[in-house]
Amino acid sequence: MMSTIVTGAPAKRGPLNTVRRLAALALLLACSAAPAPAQTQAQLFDDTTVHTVEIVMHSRDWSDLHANFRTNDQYPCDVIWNGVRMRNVAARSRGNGSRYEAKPGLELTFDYYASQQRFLGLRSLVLDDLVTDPSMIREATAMALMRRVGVPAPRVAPARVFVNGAYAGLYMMVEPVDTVFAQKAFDRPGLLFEYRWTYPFFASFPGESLDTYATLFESRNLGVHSMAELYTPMRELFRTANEAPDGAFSQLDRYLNLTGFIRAVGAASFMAEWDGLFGYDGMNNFYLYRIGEQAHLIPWDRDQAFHAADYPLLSGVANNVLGRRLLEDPELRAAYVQAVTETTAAAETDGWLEREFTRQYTLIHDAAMADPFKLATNDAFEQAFAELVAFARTRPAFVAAELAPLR
Amino acid sequence: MKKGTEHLFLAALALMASAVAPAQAQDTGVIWDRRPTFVLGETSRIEIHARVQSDYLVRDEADPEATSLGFEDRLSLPRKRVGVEGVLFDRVTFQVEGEVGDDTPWRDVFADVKVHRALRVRAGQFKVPFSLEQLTSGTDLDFIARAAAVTDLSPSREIGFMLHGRVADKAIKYEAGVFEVDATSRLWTAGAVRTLAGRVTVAPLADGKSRGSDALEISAALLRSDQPEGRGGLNGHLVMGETFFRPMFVNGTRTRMGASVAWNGTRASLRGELIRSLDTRLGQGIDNGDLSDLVSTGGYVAGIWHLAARDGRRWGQAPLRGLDLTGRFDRLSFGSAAQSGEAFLNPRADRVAPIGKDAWTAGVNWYVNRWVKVQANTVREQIVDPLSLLPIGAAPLWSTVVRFQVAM
Repeated sequence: MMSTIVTGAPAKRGPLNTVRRLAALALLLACSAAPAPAQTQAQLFDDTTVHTVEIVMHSRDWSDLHANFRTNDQYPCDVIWNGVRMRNVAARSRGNGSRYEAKPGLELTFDYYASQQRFLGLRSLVLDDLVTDPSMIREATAMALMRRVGVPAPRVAPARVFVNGAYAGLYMMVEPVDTVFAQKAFDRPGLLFEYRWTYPFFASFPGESLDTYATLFESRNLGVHSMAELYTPMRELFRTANEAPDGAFSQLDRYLNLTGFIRAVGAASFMAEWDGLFGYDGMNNFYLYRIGEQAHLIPWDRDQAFHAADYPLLSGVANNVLGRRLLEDPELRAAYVQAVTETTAAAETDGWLEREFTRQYTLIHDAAMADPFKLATNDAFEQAFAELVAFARTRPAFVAAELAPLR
Repeated sequence: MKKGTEHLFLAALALMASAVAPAQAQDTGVIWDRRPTFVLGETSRIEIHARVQSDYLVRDEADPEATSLGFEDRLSLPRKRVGVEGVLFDRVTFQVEGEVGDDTPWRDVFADVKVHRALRVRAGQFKVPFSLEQLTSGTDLDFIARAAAVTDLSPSREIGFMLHGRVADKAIKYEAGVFEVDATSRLWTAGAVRTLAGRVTVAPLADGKSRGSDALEISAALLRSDQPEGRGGLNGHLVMGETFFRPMFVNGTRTRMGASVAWNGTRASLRGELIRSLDTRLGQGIDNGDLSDLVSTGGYVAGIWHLAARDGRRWGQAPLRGLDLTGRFDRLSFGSAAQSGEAFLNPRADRVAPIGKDAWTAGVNWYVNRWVKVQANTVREQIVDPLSLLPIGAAPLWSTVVRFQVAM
């Protein structure tokens, strides 16, 4: 593949030095004669095609990254996408339960070695290894459905990833949730926090110490911020969630945007998301973006969406203080019912969800079958797709029946 | 014992020590000559020495949490050393020193045999002969912290052996040795990582007595070390320990060159040092190709003005006897031999982006008595990052530390 070197080529020494320099010069001349078209984020996250991402990394680093896949050690590399070569990139293994030695999930960070460096305006890019989802399309479809109902969710696009010329498997490129993403989504500067699962936490009041909140909500902000600035409103969020008088739960809106929150949990309920905000083992997989005192929910990692067509709509809700108190408030419960109803309609209309599953499956089929490092077998891949189709066909009716008592 | 109580205890110990009058020298037995000394006849003696340094952090702008530290958290004990040293039969000197409470306690552990008046052989663990300031004991430093170029570019102690001595009427001092990294676990094995070291010091004003050779010394040193493959390049640190330059991947050899000048006058002292290190990086490019040499350079110029003399030279009024004003400028910078192509900071960059640090230090040393010294240093550090690659801002960083030292 012809690539445009957007940053200077390194001067290498050794026996082939002169030949390499001449080749690099010829490449530069060729590229300057026919410049590559400008690339955009929209093209990067175009989910109608399977992209190709090439990573050039020292062979020892690639081995070390596999061997140390549970650590967040950074390794320098070049990344080539669509004819654009991005140099000076840092790659690390990523994920929580999805870390897998044979096919590590990757985070490519563009500003790790140079604080101002960006790639198409991005500070980083996630390459989801898809090992926890045999169908390999849950993440992409769930995020698409959420965006369809107005929940700010990352864009996702499939990619064949090659490392040093060898096929490393099918990955999903996921737009990172960082301050760039959040500020664009909410159009205002704020502070971003990533929820870190450390113990089964169901939104009960964690206490007065700000250290507890710092453990649960990792600051993802540049610059220096005091603990008080970062976590005092977070403490008040959970204090209010737990201590607001009955009938006054909407006071929580001061610290948590309830409109966006209900829209997001409504979509998650329809999607039978069992490892999200109302997860089976406590809250998980979300960010909070706080503007002033008020936090906004941003969903993350939907590899476990579409768990089962008959997964109870309110599973996990009663255990969670936020979910339980939300349903106890008639007005907020009505908003929740409305959010679930709207998500159901968005999935059902014109068979959107089944068509989307089928489109994604068809798109990635060959790349997935050829993926030598995926955790699931090819048969499991096919079976998982069949289950998703069944989900799309039967989930709306099941949800409608579950919603009836709540109306 | 709580940290604050420890410090009070040390202060009391210092006062008690200062109240003890030195004993008269004896032919045999135990005497007090600045420290407990076992005299074993005319040609042998063994001294016990100890040193405690306690630092109080006044300011550290590189650490955002420093302003909220309480009194106890600002105190630290960077050195708690005890040891013995001595001379046996006027031919063998030795030293054994350890850090109390450290996981790797041993510091200097060596024996030094006089073969000829111009040839001595030293073996054990001791400082590699390279940097003037690194070879100066922490007890005798004029500043609380060594210059960054010395701390980050010079080797410290290794296990090895060395030939050394003075020739030409003590006007020339030479040191040449072989050292091995991690020798305690694999001494002289096939895969050993070795350092060859050589240092020559010329004292042009020497007259055959030590006083002359102390007055002006000019040194040059050369080191060549094996450099195993890995992220073993040199670091760059701020004075309080924060890292501003992380190690690069290296493979091959490390060559270090150093030069120093020191002049010790009655009323003032001046010294300066230059150090340059070259690391080869064979096969360390992201495409497994060779990278250009990593180049690390640094140095300092320091001046000490003896406002009031110490150690027997008596001018000034008590308690201001033994008062120095000190000042130092030091620089440390990193880069690469390659000067073409875009410069990066990733650890496999061929052209390494220039990153450095300039530091100005001003200080006061008060020699309360022969055992107790109080030092105060204020340091202004400025990161040099012409390409603005680091997330650190351009503002200078200030730090201030007061040290209380008891040594005998």
